[in-house]
Parts: sequence; structure tokens; C-alpha cells
Amino acid sequence: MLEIKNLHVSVEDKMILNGIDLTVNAGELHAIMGPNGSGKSTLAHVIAGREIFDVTEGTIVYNGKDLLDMDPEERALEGVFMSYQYPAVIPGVNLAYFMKAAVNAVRKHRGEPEIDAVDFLSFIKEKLDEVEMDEAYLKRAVNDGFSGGEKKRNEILQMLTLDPSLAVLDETDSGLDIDAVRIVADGVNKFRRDNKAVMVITHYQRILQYMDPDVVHVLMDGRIVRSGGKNLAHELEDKGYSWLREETTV
Amino acid sequence: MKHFEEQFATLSVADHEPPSLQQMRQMAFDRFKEIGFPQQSWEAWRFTNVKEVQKSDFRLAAGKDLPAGSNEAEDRLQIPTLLFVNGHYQPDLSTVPRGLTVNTLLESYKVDAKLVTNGYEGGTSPFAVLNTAMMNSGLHLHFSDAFDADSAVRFLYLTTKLSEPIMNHPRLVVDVAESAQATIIEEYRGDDEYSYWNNALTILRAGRNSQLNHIRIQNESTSASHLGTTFYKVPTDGTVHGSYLSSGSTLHRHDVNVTLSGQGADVTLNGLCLTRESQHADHNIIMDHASENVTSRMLFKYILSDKSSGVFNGRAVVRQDAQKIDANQANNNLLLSGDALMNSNPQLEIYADDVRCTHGSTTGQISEDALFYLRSRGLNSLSARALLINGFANEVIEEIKNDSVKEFTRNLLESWLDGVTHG
Repeated sequence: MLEIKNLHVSVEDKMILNGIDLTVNAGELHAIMGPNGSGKSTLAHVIAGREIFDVTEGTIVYNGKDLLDMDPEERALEGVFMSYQYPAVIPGVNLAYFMKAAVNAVRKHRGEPEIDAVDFLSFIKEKLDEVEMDEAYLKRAVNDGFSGGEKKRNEILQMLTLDPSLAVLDETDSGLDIDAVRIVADGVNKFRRDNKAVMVITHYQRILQYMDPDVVHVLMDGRIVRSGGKNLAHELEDKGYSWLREETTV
Repeated sequence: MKHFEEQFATLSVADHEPPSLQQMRQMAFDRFKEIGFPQQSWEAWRFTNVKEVQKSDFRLAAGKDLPAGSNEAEDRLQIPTLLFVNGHYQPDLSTVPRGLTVNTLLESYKVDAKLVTNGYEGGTSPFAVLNTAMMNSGLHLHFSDAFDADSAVRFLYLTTKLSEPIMNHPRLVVDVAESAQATIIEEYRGDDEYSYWNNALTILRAGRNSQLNHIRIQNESTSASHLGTTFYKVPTDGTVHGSYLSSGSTLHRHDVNVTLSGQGADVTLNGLCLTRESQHADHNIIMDHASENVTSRMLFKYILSDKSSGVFNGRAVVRQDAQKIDANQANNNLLLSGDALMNSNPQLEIYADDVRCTHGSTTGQISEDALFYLRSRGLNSLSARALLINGFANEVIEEIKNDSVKEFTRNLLESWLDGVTHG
């Protein structure tokens, strides 16, 4: 589904990613772990299409298409979803209105008719239940005054509602208490199918306890320094990241 | 100034007026000559230039300016309307709902001069005294408690089909009886390519324990100039809720003076101001807390594009004996272009010590983070921008106390945005 080759990315002339190679197949869940400043969030933003990052070298192919050639909205309509570490606040726009606009943009892209208000309401209520959010959120401005946990649940709500093919979760677990981590992980597990792929970017292995990653990658200094199975996450939890740094520099 | 002296001499309405009113006009005109047009060296006019009205030879509207044929409002607002066309009241095309008494300014003046004058012949504002000298059209409205609280009435001042540049000095006086509830929509609209000038003065006096909703729509032709002065008197337990919407005229200046004179008085003033091309819009508001236990709020939002400019001067004054007041003012501005300019100056002038006052001002562009967020959910750049701009305006639109006007404003913003983003 996603094939990243030799990806080099800089921001304001500072190199952040120094040659990433990564292949994610449909049905797989990949965890991307690494210390702060290793380039994890940059990778997520480049996949989503954030323009402030310069791709200086390399390619990203998504379902056979050149992802880097697509606008952010085109990527979204083609099924790429990013859950933000710090979701933007949209004052004055209520969640229902926003979600309906997003759902209809996707439907229009797929050549389907727009969803009417009544159908949308019952559809979104179902999704709200799945992430244990109250109906009252629909009338609130998007992320405005939301707590950290509420914002993250809202991201998962959007993922479940928009039903993308590839979901990239950027530190969706950071700053959450254990109950919220469980809700987020449950959301991801509900989302997983044979035709979906997930990338979970995280600093801690805690959230991975509730998921079943197929591959765990460790990102350091803009490179993937190690890939392995679920056990790699446990190893990192025990030893931290420094042993890997020593090993890779040797 | 010579041109204005000539125009003052032609003021035909004055012929039928009592000598005392003629004297008052003369006194006001003398005062205007003494003060002169505002200079940019005056603090309250630092950022607003009135050369446009000063140099143009606007002629006072006359009978011949009333176009032949039907002059109906021709719009979608299904609201009883008191219609003016090019400065002429059209009683046959107007509807007066129950609970509202409509008098000409002269009729009310003859009953009691203070009803329509209120001492504005000797003030310091050049355009207020000029209005007193030249007021050539207008009405005095009195709302009784028989007025349906859920309904509204509109004062529509339409300028259309001109043959040459004219000026009008309309005056609207509104009295709301004790415990009455009223909604007045004061709308200025023009669809003419000719430049014209309206110098409006509005006096709104709420009764004790009354509730007055005042919606003011400035949608003049983009080649017009609109100067407005509005006075509010709000006594004990009086509530005033004002919503100002403006997107018209090349020059727009609105001076607002609010006096909260009795305990329990409560005033909210909101504004949504849209400017484009070389339009200039200026609100200068003085909120005078003259009694203890009163509350006030101001929320003004400007959306500026192209090379347009805006000014917001809000001053909350709290007099020495006005304890326990709660006042806040906010001015938030969205610049859609790097060439747009906003001057914002919220001020507090507090002489009491037991008060709660807040003020704040923000001016910025559309948040790139928010824009990207929406795009990454599948909205194209144009829709995402429109959604964010609508969201920005929503806080003011939601507060409008009339559903038709709310809808009208949403449509106005939508078509305005179409013009901005595509043109």
C-alpha cells in the first residue's frame, strides 16, 4: 500500500530525514518508535502532505500513485489519514458541520451522493459511541476547549468516520491517561481490516500493549536503525534508546 | 466649506419649520463651521481620512431625485419595512406594525423639541452637528409594550437610480416604552454606481426594564460614503443588544456613544465588518458606565482583504461612582491579504475601584495549521478557507437577534467570500 524509498526531508535547510526506506502492506500495523527529535512526526506530516517540509530526495508510492505529487486534500480523498499529535482548533465551526463537510468531500470524490442530515446524524452517533464521546460534542467547535484526551478521541472519531485506507497516528497516545489510551487503541483495533494499513508513531510501547503490531521500527537521527517484531518494543521499554544509538554508531 | 454653506442655504424642508428649529439648525451649522472637518491630527480620526466627502460637491437630495416607477425594497427580508428612497419617505410602500407609532421628525419636534434634538446642535462631533443642521429626512419611532416581542421592523434607507451625486442627513429616533420589547433593523443600502454620501444620526432611548434589539446593516454602494453617529441611552434595567453588519461603502465611519445610566442596564454591541478593494471601515465606540451595577460587552470582528483598511477604537469609561460594573471588549481581525491594514485600539478609562473590566485585541491571518488540518480531512483549499472564515464570523452571526437577518448575513458573507476568493 505504501512504499517509501530513500526519503530525505529537510525543513528550513535542516535535514530531518536522512534516507527512510519503509514498506507497509494492506492489513499490517507498523509501529514507528524513537526518541524525541528523531524525525517521527516529520515522517507523518510528509505522508499527509504538509508543505513546510522539503522532500529533497526519494519517493513515496501509495497504491501505485506518486503520493508526493498529490495535494493534501487529494491524499485525504484517496484514503490517507493522519491523526495529529496537536490537532488544530477550528473556532466557530461545530464538529457536526465539519464532519459532514469532510464525509461529503470523500463521498463526492467516490462518485457517491451527499449524505443527508438525518442519515449523517445516526451515522455519526454510532461512531461517537465507539470512542465513548457524548453527542454534545457535535455542537461544539472543533477541538475548541477540548482537553488533550478529548482531542485525541476526536481524531480517532474522524478516522472511524472517514474510513481511510492508511491511517498514520502521530503520538496519539502521548499525554493520555490509561483509560484514554485504551479507548484510542480500541478505536484502532476496530479500524483494522485486511484492506487497511496503520502506522502508529509513538515514543512509548504502552499503547502497543493493546495492539498487535506486525513490525516495530526504530527511528533515530532520521533513519530507521532497526526493525523487528513486537519484542523490539519490549526491549526498548527495558533498555531505552541509548543502547541502539551506541550500536549504530559503532 | 463654501459648498456646504450653499447647500445649507438651499435646505427647503426648513421653510415650513418653526423658527426655533430653524435657529437650532443655524446654531448647529455655525458650530460645524467652527469645528470644521476632522483632521488626522485629531486622536479619534488619526487613521480615517474624510477628504472624499469634503472635496466632492454632493448636493442635498431634492424631490427630483425620487425615481419614477415602483421603488419597492425588492429584497428577501420578510420584515415590515419603513422605506426611504433617495432621502424620501415612502409611506405607501411602508408597513407599520401594531405597537409602533411612526411620526415625522417635525411632528415630534412640535410636541417636544427634545424628542428629536437632544442637544446635538452643540456637540464636538462635526458630523453630528452637521446632521442637526441639515437633517432632511428621518422618522421618530415609538415602540409600546403592544409591539410583538418576537417580531421586528425595518428602517430601510435606499439610495438608487441617481442622476448626480447627492447627500442625505437622515435621522432616526427610537423610543422604547417601559417594559416593552422591540427589534429595529436599521439598514442603509445602495445599488448605484454614483458616489453619494449618507451622514446618518440615530438616537435610541430604551425605557426602564425594556429590551431593545438594534441591528444595523450598512450595505451602501461601494462608491458611496457612509458616516454614522449612534447614541444609546440605557436606563435602569434596560437591555440593548446591538449587531452591526457592514460590507458597503468606500468610506465607512461609525461613531457610537452609549450611556448606561441606571442600575441593571446591560448593553451588548457586536459587529461584523467586511472590507475589500480600497474600502475603509472605522468604528469609534464610547461605552460610558455612568451607574453602578451595569454590564457591557463589545465584540467586533473585521475581515479585511485586498488593500482595504479598518479601524477599531473602543473605549470603556467607568465613572468614579460606577462600582460593581462588568465590562469587556474584544476586537478580533482577520487579514486575508498582506496588503490589508487594521488599527485596533481597545481602551479602558476606569475611575472606580471595584470593577471587572477586560479588553483584548487580536489581528492575524488564517492559521496555516488550521487550514492544513481541514485540507488533510479532504476539503479543498477554497472550502477550507471559507469554512475558517465562516467560523471566525460565526460568533457574531450567531448572536444576531433575528433569524431572517441571521440568514441574510450568512448569505452576504458567502457571496462576499466568492467575490474575494475568485476575484
